[in-house]
Amino acid sequence: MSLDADHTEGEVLSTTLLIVCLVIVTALAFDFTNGFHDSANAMATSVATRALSPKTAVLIAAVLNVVGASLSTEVAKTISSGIVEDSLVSPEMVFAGLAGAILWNLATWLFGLPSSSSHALFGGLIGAVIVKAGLNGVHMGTIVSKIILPALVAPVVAGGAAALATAVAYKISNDTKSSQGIFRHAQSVSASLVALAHGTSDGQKTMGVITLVLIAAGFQTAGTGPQWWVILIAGCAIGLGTYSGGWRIMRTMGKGLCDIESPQGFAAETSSTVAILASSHLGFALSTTQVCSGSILGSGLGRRTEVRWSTAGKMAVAWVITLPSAAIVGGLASLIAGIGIGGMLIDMALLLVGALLIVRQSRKSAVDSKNVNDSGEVNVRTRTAVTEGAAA
Amino acid sequence: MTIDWISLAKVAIVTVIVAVAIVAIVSGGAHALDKAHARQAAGDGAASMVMIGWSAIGLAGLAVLYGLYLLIPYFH
Repeated sequence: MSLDADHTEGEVLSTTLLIVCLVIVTALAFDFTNGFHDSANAMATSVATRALSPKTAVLIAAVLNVVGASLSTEVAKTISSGIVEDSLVSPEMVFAGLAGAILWNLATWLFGLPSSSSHALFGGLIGAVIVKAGLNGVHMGTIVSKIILPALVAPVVAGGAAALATAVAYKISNDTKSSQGIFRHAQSVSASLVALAHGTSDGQKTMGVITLVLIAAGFQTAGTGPQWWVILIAGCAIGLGTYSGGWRIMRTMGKGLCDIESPQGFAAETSSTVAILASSHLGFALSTTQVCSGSILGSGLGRRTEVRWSTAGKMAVAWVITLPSAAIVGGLASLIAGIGIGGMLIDMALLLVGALLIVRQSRKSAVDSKNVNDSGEVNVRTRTAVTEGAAA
Repeated sequence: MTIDWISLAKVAIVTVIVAVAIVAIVSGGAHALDKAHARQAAGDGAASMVMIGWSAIGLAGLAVLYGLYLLIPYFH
């Protein structure tokens, strides 16, 4: 950052500090939405089969997410894993990208749709970089190989494994009280592994983003790990997010796709766990959200129960539009942030208003830990629907 | 653009085989314990079935430990 003749060194420092603070706050907000968005990945089947009570399920998921987040504190080398030209990424762009990702996470939550938080973050960053540096700043090949192909592969692999595993479970076991008990416990164990794995990958992501921004601003030496307070606040943010449950998404995944019984839930969670562990250790990264949704769908096919394809279709649409939608919001936010620090504050205000409007809309048809299992539908009531409902 | 098809195939194959194996082992264990309960109810000896059942579940427990080993970087 070059010193302006009109500005003293102190002023520049305080502006940098303000930018860094804004990025940290939005990164933590993103981490929170990441937590409640992905709570369902681990716990939806256990909540649906009542292997765990809703409150216990999210508490376990939250604790394991925090534990997972603090297990590994190796900082990612780049924010975007090569999807955009990292040398072009400024703290303002990270801020704009995070804003796009937060709004998209909230919007999909409103509709009860599981969508990948990493895709939302990458989308937001891509939009911010395109606005600033044009299409050349984006690596299209990496988008295909790291986002589009894994998104197509994940549901097929996890779904196939879950379908076979479910068929095997029903072939071998009998429908007795003792068997059901074993499957319920086994299901809780495999779901806990998914939560822990989620913490180690996603919990760390936000720490990495904050640390990279601190390094870029000169507050931290390059090549050093996250500060203890960054680990602490990022862990708390994802843990609180997970504990808050994201019940709308939990309902869609646990009740909306198909009816889930214990052996089937166990087969689905086991397939998800194995797919996540295999993908992170054999070098082909798959998105947790798409793995878990695919497993649940596959387990329904394996048990030959009715699968609600209309819900699956809506989810597929959400996956396809996640990246471009977050990119549009990220791009707009980046345009406004380009004005300077005032632009970032305007972004922040717009983000707050948007978030509040979405939360207010969600209140009209609230889904919580008490009614999560009552139906498979997540309604977004418009004003007319409410009056119709009142008239009926 | 480079796509690592070999890793992709490995992930797919390992996922299907390991997931099906673990679920089969636990299901087999549950089945064995069911049989043991039935024999006990009939007044017959069920020790071997109980042992088979719990060994299978123990085996699945080992798979969980291996999963933890993979997840926790401290072990690597």
